[in-house]
Amino acid sequence: MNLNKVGIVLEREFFFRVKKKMFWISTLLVPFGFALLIGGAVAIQLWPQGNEEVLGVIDETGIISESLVAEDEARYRNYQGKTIEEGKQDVQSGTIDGLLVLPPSILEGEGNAELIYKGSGGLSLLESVRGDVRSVVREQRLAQAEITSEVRDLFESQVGFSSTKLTEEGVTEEDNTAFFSLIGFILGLIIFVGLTSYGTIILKGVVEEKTNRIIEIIASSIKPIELLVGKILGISAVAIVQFGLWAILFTGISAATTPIVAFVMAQQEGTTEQMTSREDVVASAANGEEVELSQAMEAASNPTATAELPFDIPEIPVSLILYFFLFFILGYLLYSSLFAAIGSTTDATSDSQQLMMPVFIPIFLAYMFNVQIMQNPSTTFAAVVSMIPLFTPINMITRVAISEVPFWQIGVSVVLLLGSIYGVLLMSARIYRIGILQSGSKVGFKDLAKWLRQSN
Amino acid sequence: MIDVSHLWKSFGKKDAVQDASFKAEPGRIFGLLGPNGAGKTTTIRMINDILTPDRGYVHINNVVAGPQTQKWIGYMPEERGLYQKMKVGEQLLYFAKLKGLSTSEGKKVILHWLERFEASDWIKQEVGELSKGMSQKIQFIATILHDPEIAIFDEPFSGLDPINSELLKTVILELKAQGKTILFSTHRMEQVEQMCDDIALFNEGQVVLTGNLAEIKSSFGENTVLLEYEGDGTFIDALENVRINNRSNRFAEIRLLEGQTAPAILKKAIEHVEVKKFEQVEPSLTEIFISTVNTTKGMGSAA
Repeated sequence: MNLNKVGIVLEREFFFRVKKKMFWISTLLVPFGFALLIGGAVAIQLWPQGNEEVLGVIDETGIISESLVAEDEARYRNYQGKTIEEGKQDVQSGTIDGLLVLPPSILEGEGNAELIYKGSGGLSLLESVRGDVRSVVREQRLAQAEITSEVRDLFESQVGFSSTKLTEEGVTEEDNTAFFSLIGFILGLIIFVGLTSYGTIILKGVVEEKTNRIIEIIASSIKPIELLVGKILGISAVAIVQFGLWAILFTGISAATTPIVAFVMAQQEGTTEQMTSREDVVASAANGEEVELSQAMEAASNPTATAELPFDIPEIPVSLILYFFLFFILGYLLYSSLFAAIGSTTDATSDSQQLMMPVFIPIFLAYMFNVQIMQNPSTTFAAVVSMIPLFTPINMITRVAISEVPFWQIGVSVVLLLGSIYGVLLMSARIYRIGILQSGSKVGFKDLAKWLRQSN
Repeated sequence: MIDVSHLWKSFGKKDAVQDASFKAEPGRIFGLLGPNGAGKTTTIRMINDILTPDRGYVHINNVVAGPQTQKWIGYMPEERGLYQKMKVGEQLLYFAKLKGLSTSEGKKVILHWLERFEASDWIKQEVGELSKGMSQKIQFIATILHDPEIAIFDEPFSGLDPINSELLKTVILELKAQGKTILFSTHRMEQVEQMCDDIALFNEGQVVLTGNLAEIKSSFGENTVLLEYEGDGTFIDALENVRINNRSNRFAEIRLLEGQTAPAILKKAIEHVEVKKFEQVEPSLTEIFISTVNTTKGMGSAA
């Protein structure tokens, strides 16, 4: 193999793709799309809910309406003294959105509170009204039953639960298993998407050279293996650049948006404490203080200020990121040579469906195993599966993220993966060098087996 | 120089090329002739080291075909194409570099050839935006930009418009004048008769005839009659001991076989039509091919 020629191919494959506008558009849009998605999800969570409908309350028990109004003054309006008919008229005319009637029997635990409304407000309105009525009624009945406040406190008390992880170094650290399970699954998912999409790019590139009849000119200049390796490496360089840019953009976006999210969430919490210094603005925003947006932004732009979300995001270790790139690249090298071999056997992308199946199956299997591994990362099943080269890229990264994987297992999986890459590359090259010159006839698995044995 | 010696290549059970031998010399044009599927392209691929022979060898300037000899060859395949989304200049530079040119050398020759073909304006255009004729020109440039000692064209004139056909002929004759070795294949023999100095006739994987075209022709003698006429030419179909190779309603190329003579045909022609032209000549390549194939098959002349 002439490395110089591999380099020429690599250079073309890389710059041809990186120079395209679409590459930059997709590279830039994905993180912003992702940020928008997360922002949207946060916004929906935080959107003030259920405060818009005004309900008139006719309290036939005569004693709980006040505490109900106190639950939510914007929502409940005391309609004491009005008849149900008058209330209904107000609902009709739109003065109020609904009429809540509390019968006397409700305090005996028998009657039903009735909401008469026009049907707007949906489930969340019903849920919150039911909750309010229930808690007010319960309070009242507890008070009537002369339960002591100690017993009430007992009812309301919660059990604290925290877990601590003992690492191999003997250091105890806070356990973030839930968080890392999610991270592990997401990393596996990214590799899953990466393998299929970059694999498809390889396949399309090979098919293009065949259908456009470029391949024979190239084959008269370099060896098929040089073209194959150059192509695979060139596109892996594209992948590295793209993922690198995404990593930078994600870090940038989250650094920029954290103070805003923190501020918005602080607005929601709304407690009253005095602020003393600029650093405290953000910190107290995190603790749930009402601060001005401009102040929060100002503080955020101050490099010494540390913006924190009101919840704790554990730090993602650098080693995990390195493992991610390692398994992603190795997985890509393994699968891309398979995709290239398949591409070389067909004249059109659509023809390759039948032959693509056996390559997609292990990728999908690994993805399905991950659902299991995410919950039980240390079982024998997880260990074995994650050391099978075709599954390693997706399954091992998930295990590494979630649990302490013994180093020998990682070592074995990497060695096996490297060995398979070499083997698969040699095999694919044999198919590739014959496949690229074939045209017209449809290729089946029998032909592939024959090509493996055939000389050039 | 291309030296092909006892070349064999089979695909599965099919022998694509069997014991093929011929030599193409510098400063001459060598024609690889024969019908489709006769083994021409397989042979050319072995010369280009795209395929490896099962037996026999290909020598390019006395070196066994391999990565080194690939640099000396410019090859335009029958199935030709370019990257549709790549710019003309970048694409040509890519091919130049694959042939071993440096970036600066490559850029220089690309500018030269684009100018020569009045195509300098296209350098920044994507190939997909060019017309078919324009991309054919780019294809020529891609074949010869590294100034190869040996130029190989597989079915070069198929699919070319008349202007590009002429352009390619000019280029090929120029290369010949520069002392390069030129080899091309075609199944349309009459089209290239004037261009070739030497030929190899392929049939069913075998070289049935090879050598200097003029010598081959004269060895067949003036056994062919060209007849141009006006009138009802049906009498031609009734002629015995002849083979009609080229026929239109005013023209016929008649090969005289055993027992038939030119004067006899002239006599018959005068009886039936108004003779415009009657000429006794050497056989055409098509005729040579047919009679050679028939002889090698042992079927005699009565086919």
